[in-house]
Amino acid sequence: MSFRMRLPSADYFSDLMKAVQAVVDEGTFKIDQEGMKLIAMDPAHISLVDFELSSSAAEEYVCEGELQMTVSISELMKFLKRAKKGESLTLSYDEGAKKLELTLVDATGSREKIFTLNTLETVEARSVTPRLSFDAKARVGVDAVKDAVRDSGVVSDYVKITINPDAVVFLAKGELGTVQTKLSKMGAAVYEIEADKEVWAHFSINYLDKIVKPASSLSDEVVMQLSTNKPIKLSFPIPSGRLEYLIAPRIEGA
Amino acid sequence: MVQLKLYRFAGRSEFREERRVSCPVCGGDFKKCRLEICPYLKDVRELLRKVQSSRIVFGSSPPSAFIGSWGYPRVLAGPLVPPIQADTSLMEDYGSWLDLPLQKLVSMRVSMVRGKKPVKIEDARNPSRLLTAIQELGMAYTPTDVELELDKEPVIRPGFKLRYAPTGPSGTVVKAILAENPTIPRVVDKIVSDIDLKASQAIYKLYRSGIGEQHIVRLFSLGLLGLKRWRRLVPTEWSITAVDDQIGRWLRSRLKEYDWINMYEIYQYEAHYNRVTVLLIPGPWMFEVFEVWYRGGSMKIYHDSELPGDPDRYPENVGGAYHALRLPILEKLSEIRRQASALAIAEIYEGWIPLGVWRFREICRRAMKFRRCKSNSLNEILAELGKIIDLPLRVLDESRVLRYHKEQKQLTEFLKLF
Repeated sequence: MSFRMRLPSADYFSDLMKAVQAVVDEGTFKIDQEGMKLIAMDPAHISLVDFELSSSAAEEYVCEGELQMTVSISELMKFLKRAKKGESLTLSYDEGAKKLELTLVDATGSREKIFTLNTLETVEARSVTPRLSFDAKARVGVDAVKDAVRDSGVVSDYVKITINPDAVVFLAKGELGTVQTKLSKMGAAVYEIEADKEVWAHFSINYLDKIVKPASSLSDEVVMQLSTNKPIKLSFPIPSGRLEYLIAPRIEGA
Repeated sequence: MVQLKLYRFAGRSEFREERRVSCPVCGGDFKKCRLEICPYLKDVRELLRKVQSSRIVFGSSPPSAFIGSWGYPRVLAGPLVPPIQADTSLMEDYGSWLDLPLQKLVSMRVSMVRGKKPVKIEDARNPSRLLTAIQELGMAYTPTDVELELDKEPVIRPGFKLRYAPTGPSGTVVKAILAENPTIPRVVDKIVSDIDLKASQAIYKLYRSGIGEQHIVRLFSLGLLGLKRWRRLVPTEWSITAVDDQIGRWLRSRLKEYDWINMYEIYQYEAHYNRVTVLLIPGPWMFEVFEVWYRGGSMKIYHDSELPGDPDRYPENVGGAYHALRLPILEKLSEIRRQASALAIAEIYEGWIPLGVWRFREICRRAMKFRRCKSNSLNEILAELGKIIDLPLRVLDESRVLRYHKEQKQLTEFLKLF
């Protein structure tokens, strides 16, 4: 069984893989007629990525049946880094040969580069369904969130994220002092808040930063969903696809 | 500053204060320190008198060479030669030092005469005749006879150093000659002559071929490893940490594939007024050190850690002891092919004289062979830990590793698994 997909921009696919790499280094993609999907948790089981690139994103998409492809994303990134601006990317995978072929063609079609990556053995892992319900939801500018996370890092390892009907608040406390970022509902950085009451939880800044940084080059906004002392869901809307993350909370005094 | 280049530099506030190191007898006061009264040098007084009366030292070097950090990048390099011809390999074999009394240990090291010669660090690439002899000596792995000629009789300088083992009387080298052909392991010869192999790779290769750390440190400090154009002399104290760190990084990079250990475990060993206690917690690799100095009823604590996702940073507070403690734990986990979070507590009591960080590495290595207890619950194991260390448990409230394990939840607690 094999599959073949041509994407207009290699750079875009590269950015997507960077966003997946924030959580896992090695991943199994499930590929079928609809597109390619990956749901994976990091080895410490603290963050999860739910990624999908649907066939409509591709200029050409051929897939017979369902197949699985396991690759080392850091190895894949080494190839994708070689992509130049304006180059298109064709991925083709042959499940029998266990080889992923990446073909980069420049805009004029005058040069074609072919990279072949050996794929890995697929280990049947327990799969998870990232279905959770949330009490509050906020749609916020991604740069504001990125800055708020970075600023919190000045004093602490983790940050308290609060969503209340009027604002989204990031609060970090450390020995040095405290850092607070308040994104008010009235302000330009907040597009929408859906909350009946105040909800909050603490999260590791390392994980937040690792996820928000690469995702910020793919999307201008992020949808944050939260319940008190429960995981947070960060969704980055991307054209013809899905990029969502979950991060487990830290519970103080537990 | 080789080891600092490997890391992003930490902020100013995290700089450690200068730790005072002194001999408990003379208090490090040069004027009070006399060969006649030093209790540590009792056994070697006669030998030292003899040594100090002659410009020429002939004996079997363990082998050992020393590169000072003073004056960097123009450093004092030279061989260490005891005035005796015998199997002196014990003098450089850290692993067996734990079983010797402190006094014997000091005497042994101090009986070696240190030759000194100012050399530019880049000279390692095209060495003078003297430096060539030192480099050849450094490659040897069995004691090698050396004749050392100094410009005048060697003098003994008092004082102990924090990071490396003590050395004896020293003088400026005029000539150093190897009196026999050094025995050089084939793999050492091969890697030293490979001028296209990066130093970090060279260190792993030597380590994997079973070359002792001591030997690797010697090769590294004499500028015998790495790409030709980057080879240089590296002060011994920096080399020790660089080698501990590089081997540790290599072991650590392979650890993440392994499953977690399934119970909380405590390991402990003590020697020479030093006690190392290691707590292993089921979880992803992370590491934290509490280094505690007990002095006259007070206690000084130094503390550093690495957690998942942390930027790579030099442990400014603990320094070289951090890497020396990390290595044996990584070795143990690699051996059992398991992953764990580790908390190391190093306690140093009055009576210890600063002889270097090697004792942390060796004590920790022994500790990892003696499991004190294990348990299924974090609270139970912490209660147990409180009984076998003198550090009050409330200090561990500062621990990032413990806080992480108490507070950080996993997604698996919230999601359904199929």
